[in-house]
Amino acid sequence: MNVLAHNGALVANAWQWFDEESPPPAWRNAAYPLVYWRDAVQVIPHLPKLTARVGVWLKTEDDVHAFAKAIGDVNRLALIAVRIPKFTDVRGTSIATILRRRYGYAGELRATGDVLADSILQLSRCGFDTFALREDRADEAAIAVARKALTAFTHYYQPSVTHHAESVSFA
Amino acid sequence: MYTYSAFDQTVVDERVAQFRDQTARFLAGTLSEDEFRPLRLQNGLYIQRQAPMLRVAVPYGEISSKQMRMFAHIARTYDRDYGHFTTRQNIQYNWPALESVPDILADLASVQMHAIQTSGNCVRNVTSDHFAGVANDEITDPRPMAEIVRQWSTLHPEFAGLPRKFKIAVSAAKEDRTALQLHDLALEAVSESVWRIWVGGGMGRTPILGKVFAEVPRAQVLGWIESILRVYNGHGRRDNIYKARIKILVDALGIEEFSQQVRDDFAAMNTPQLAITDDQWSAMKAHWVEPTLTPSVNGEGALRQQRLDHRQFDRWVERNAIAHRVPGYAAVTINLKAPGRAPGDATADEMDHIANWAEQYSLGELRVSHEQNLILPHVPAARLFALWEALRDAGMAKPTVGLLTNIIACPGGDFCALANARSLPIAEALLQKFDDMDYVHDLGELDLNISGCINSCGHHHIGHIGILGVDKNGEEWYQVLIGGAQGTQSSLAKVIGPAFSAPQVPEVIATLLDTYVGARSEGERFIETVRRIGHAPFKAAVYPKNSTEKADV
Repeated sequence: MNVLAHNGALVANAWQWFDEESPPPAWRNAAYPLVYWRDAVQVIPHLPKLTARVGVWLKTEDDVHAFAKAIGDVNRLALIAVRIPKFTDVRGTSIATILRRRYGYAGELRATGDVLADSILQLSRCGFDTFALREDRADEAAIAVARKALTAFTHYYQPSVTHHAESVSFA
Repeated sequence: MYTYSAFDQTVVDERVAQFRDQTARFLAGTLSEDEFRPLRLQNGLYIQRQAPMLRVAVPYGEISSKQMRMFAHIARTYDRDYGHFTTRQNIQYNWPALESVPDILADLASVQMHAIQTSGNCVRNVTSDHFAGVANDEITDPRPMAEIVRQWSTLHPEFAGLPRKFKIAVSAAKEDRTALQLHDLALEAVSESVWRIWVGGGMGRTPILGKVFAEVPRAQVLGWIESILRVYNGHGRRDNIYKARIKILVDALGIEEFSQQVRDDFAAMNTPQLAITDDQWSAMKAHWVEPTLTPSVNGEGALRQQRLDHRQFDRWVERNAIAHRVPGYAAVTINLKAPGRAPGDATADEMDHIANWAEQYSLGELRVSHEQNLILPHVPAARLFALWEALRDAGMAKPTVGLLTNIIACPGGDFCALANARSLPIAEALLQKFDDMDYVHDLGELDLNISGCINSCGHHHIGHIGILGVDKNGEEWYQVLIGGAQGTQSSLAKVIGPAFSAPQVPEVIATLLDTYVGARSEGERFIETVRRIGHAPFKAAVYPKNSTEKADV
């Protein structure tokens, strides 16, 4: 399935999702494995060419600081995905903000799970690059709605990961 | 007053367009009920018992006569000719059709207003002191900071789905008129350049007074608020809505541990872009030009004579007008509490009259108070009598501000889907029973607050007397509380005993008042008597048979 990028483009998805506690060896043979971070944290330091071919995913209830500490340098990862259990749970936006600002993560950040058109502008502004829209909201019409949602606003009051001081009205 | 820049106007216009599209998708069936709910809530739209309810923001309670006329227009065009002013300085409409809400929002945007974040699990509309720019005890004007917080919080991308709602108040006077300790977060000016941050207060099922987090330089205020919200977003409970407010998190972690986590985040995350620079502060302050009021003692003599000649007028001046910091002026409360009127309600025609009075007497400015009244902030003393006559003829001059019958009440079970019991019939019964102005004035200052459910929109926890509607096997019952207070000596009221039926409530209140009158010492207010003698004498009077068996709690 394709994912939507923050600029509205559809991007082919190369990554293969592995659920939590799936048989550990399986993901190591995949071309682009996307693994629950706790399943991978022991082996990541020993894998070659990490930035090219390993991604991890987090749950919104995970402690992002514990995650960053365990991984060491988050920039060794080519992809970090956050699985959003319910679109009303916005812990993912804080996780993204923290990964970008505090830990300097520069790789791809992807929102997965209950990702809907009306949430992706917020997710994007907090540093998510790509969005795996919820399956029943990912047809052509839904993608058109999502693209429109990304451009609903031309002005933002507050700085965020992607918009800076010049857009703050009270400046 | 703050006036929109082209930037502000663009944001609200784009918000209207966004919501119009969301509403159309909901009506077309491509957006589910569940998906639409948080979107509409964050635009102030509830689905209530009878119809949708739309809550419109009045940021920090300040509005112009032109905006008040728009409220009248909306009441007439889309609703049933009235609106309800709330304890959070907003206005609610009880009968709009869902389909017309985008048009209402467009009309509001045409006068620089909106309904953004007036409900939902987000940072809510910011509240402040209804006497801002008027009060003698002001340390600095709270409105520039309130507006900065409004802008920063508006459509903030990181905090649009918090564990629960998040209310911010801004106070900058010696006396707190914002109930700041009952807010998730409050900013209190220590000086113009240093602000004290309170955190973790709130009403609801578990009322808790806020705690001081820190005193911080003005430049860092937004950075600290962001860090507080980030810790709350990450760690606030999402498994139980009754334990989801930040007060529960602060209590669970302890203020020390909570503060440590916030400081850690602030140190690691603070971005220079969030700093409020001196230039930004000056630019924001410039929106509130001191009105050109000529200090005057003319009219004082005439006013003195008018007060001697007209007892009702004298009482009204005493209760419903406060001295302006410019000599010769007063801030006047338009009293929306009287028998036959639901507290805080005003009809469309009344709103038009109020807009006219604002222009005739108060430079076109108005305020909404959290006590559900309206305020004319800049009235010349020489014109008070003429204004009083107009208000009296319109039924908005009961001289009861700060007294028993200045009742705060939520809309309750008549309208609200959350309520366990109706509030308005209780308020009406009390307004009728205690309509003897001599008696009400003799009782002195007394806050009586009514909520129709534990969500506490009627602020019953901080009433000197509080009344809480509860459901017992499908019937409406009312708990009575005493000992609450707002302001610098905030306290939480406690329940006096088993609940009462609606017809019993007025008598119970009368008994509490009799007990107070019997026990008070010279000049002692109800709340002071309660604090001095405790709850026991009040319980003994209300529950005579078993009172001796029960220990005071």
